[in-house]
Amino acid sequence: MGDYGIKISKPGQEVDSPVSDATAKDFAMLDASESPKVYYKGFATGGSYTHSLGSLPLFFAFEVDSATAPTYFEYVNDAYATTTELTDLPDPAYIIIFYDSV
Amino acid sequence: MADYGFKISRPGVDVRTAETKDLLFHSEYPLLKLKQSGSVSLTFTDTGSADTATVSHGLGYEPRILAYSQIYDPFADDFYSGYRMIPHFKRNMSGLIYMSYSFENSTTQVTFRAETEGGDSSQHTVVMYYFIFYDEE
Repeated sequence: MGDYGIKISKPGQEVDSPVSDATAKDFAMLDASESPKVYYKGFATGGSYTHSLGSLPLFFAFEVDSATAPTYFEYVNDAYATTTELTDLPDPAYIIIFYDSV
Repeated sequence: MADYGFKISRPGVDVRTAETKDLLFHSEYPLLKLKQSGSVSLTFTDTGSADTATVSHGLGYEPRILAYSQIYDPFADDFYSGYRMIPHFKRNMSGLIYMSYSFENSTTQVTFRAETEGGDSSQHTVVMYYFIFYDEE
């Protein structure tokens, strides 16, 4: 396979500039660097959410006042991640789980 | 330089008229770009003596970091094998019971830190996992 790729610079940055540890931050997207990919975003009820990633994911959890028409979102850091689920979530909660994991 | 850019819309949305929230990508709003991820292990005694672990990134600026940790909770005297986002702090009014799971960012490295006091006074080991991005803090 040929040496193809894609890179997109931030506004005002020259896209042809070389990519290095020092300059990677100046690009909006680089194929050489993974960006978080959403696995699930939405509401969770019952205080837990089962995922099937099999690894520890990057995630965020928020307390909400409704699972259908929330009027507020409040970040919480009491939720736990395991390789199979998020637990100790507020009920209801709004969660964002990414494919990116350790 | 000419005013070029790049946008990708959600399926069914006209990219030329889409609101930013309906775009999957917009070059004015950079994606987080992962530099490295991994885990560290810290062992500490529940008497206020902290353990630290450092991870070098060598970027020359403070990068954006997301990290999660197992938790020994001296308030509940319980160990949680799941992972909570850090920093994570808790302290009672007298300060005699507290827990602190955190990281400190610098231009060259990240220092992870775990410290608790007021629980069962025994030794605990927690694992923290982290994501370091090229994007600046």
